[in-house]
Amino acid sequence: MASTRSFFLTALGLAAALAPADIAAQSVEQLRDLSIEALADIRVSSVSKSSEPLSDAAAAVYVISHDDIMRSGARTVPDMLRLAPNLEVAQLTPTNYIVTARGFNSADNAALSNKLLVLIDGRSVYTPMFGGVYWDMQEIPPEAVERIEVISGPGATLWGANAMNGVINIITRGSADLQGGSIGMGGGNLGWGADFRYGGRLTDDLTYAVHAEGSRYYAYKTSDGKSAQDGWTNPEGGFRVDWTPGQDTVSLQGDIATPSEQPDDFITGRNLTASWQHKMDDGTSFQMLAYYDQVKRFSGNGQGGFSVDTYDIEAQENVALNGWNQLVWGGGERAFSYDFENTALQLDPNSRTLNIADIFAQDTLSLSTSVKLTVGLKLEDEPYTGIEAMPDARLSWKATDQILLWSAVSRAVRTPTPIDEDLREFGGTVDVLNGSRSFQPEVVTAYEAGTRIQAGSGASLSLSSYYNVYDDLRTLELAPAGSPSVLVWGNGMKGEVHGAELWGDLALTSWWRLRAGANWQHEDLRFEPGSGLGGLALIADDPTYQASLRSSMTLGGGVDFNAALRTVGPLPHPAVPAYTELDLTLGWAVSRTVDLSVAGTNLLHPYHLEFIEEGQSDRIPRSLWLETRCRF
Amino acid sequence: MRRLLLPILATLLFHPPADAEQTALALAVKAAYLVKIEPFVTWPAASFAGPGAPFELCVAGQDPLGDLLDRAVAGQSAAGHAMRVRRLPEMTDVAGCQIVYFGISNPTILRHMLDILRGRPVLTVTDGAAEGDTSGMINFAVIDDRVRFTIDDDAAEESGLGISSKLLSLAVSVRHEGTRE
Repeated sequence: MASTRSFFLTALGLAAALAPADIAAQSVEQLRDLSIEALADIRVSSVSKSSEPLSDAAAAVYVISHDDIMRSGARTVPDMLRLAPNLEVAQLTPTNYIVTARGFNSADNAALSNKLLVLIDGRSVYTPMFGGVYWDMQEIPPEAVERIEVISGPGATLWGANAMNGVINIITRGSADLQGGSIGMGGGNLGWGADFRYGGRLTDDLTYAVHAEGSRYYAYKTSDGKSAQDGWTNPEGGFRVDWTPGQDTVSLQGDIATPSEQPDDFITGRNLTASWQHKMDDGTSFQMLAYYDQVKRFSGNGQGGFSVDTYDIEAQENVALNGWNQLVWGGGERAFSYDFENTALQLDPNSRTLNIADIFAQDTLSLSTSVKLTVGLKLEDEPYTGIEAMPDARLSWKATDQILLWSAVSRAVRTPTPIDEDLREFGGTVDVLNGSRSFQPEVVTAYEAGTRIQAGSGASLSLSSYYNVYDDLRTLELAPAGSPSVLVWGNGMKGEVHGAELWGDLALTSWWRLRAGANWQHEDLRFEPGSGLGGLALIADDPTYQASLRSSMTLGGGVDFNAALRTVGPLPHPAVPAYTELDLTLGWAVSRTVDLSVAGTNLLHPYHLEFIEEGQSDRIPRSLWLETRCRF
Repeated sequence: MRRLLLPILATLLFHPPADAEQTALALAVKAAYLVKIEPFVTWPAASFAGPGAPFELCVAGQDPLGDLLDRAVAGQSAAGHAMRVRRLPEMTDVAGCQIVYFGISNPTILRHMLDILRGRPVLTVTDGAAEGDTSGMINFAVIDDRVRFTIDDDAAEESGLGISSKLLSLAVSVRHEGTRE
């Protein structure tokens, strides 16, 4: 299963060893200083030639482990993502978040934050309608998450369009890791939830797991003290079957969720993913993935909605051409079929099927024992603009056993969506904003350099820096005379963003671990002459700095204590003050069948603001959550 | 003819020569486990000869871990007892051992050795043994490229050992009250 779960990362050449524990790892003294959970997570195979330890990856990769997630008390995927120091996470409502990497945080229900690719077990979950992610639909029980790999910077050569500023790869546990049953119940001042999970083994090589959960999020209050009417109810369930005969791994998994937001928004998410991996003795591996994904979002009060059905099939092969050439190549086809209910917001046409096809190849050349060059190219046939080329070149030098230096140059695009091309937005009878058939992909050329240092046992440091050059960013433009609408989408912005990301990990003792992270960025974005309607708020509203410090303690008697302090710089458009917040989590394994935990979130203030959207926003309250879990 | 063939087939099926494939990293992870298991297990006080007695991690039979275990144990202590490694030339020397690790895969020998230790306050750890009466209270298994383990909580209880829920929750399967979960 492992290999299937790391379906895509194998392609990056990171795969098998991306488990966080591999950061430290090799000597037995270093292993001894890891937590026992981390030991259970170390991949010990030396067979897979296409994989290399995280400490050798020529990219800004941060891995959130299962253990990190369980200790943090995070229950939603965006809260888990706060553990990655190379992401910006801003909460808007009880369930709605904006998540970006390296800038381009922007408002309007995440509809404009569209430069990130998010995969759950290889299934893309950004909405092809506009390129953003509905985080309120991505509910995964924390216990089922194996790890989350966060790559800041472009990953388009392997992952394709939209992997412009980053890739989030969520990998869930195989059913062999979800054996036994558990019932969990939790609640606090902001809501409650309950879940049931059971996993079993049918034969030696056939396992299954099922789960069902329900959660209720109470509405927050806006700055004027009124209810924001954004409470949320989410019943959700899923299954997974893994079959591992010999050298093959076959998995089938599916989920269904039917959340609803008060007073009357109704949502359905369904998906079914099948994957097959075959490994050969010489280290060659072949993988196939196919999935179906359906998203329906409708407002009951005549505000419209849409449904999208996505069908995807892809395949790739990892093969060692000779002693110094490791090739990954593959291709895929995705069709998405949508139906948009036209109201004031319309699409013309409002129903159609679009296709995206791609082929890619990437070769890692070992130039010497310590220097590796990786070059790759993806060609993607886009529905609106035809073929886009996304090349990438990465060079790494293992200066000593402890120090890796890397640099990269890559080009990535955010391709046009129906919202860019086919939109018609009315204000009353006035056609206010139209999409543009001449809208071009947004393009970035990214220059990156970084280093990763493994200092002795249990201490590591990563520093990544980037200089991104953007062109053809989306802007609002006055429509030319004679146009049906007042405004149209245009490509009227360019600019540069540069910054640095730093994180480190220090095991002080066998039971106490500290992790710190920080990032800085400077955005210099400029409108083309004559452009500039709506200002920067529509494009980038980012803090110039963020920092975090986390402490994880494994105390005796089954007690874990975790503390996380984070500070986020002020936002400029519109102004939101900087904030600092603290989360504390205490977990206690009472007996072999019962766990108790208590989590306090955002403890320093009764309320704080993380973002302002359309002039008003929810105040994010302090919260307390108590949970008990029984295993059987 | 059939009678002869069947047991051979069974031996081939259930006891592949797995030891040969162990990577150095897998062995190092196992050595680290042996040192780290202690906080998750409680031994009866009688298990120690006295307050000053060392915590003894014993190795029975051939020793695939070699100096990895000595390095992992160096400088470690366990609940106030200095931790040390002792290699057992004979099973009769088991007095004083808190953990016995069996670097043996021959099921007949394993079964015999485990029988000798049954009921004694010693945590038995086997490596890649088939489930059943040839696996120790803890049995390492490489699953999904990772070193994991199963736990026989019944055998531990019978010997007066308490295994914490934390360790049980990390096990890939647990035998408890006669059933395997």
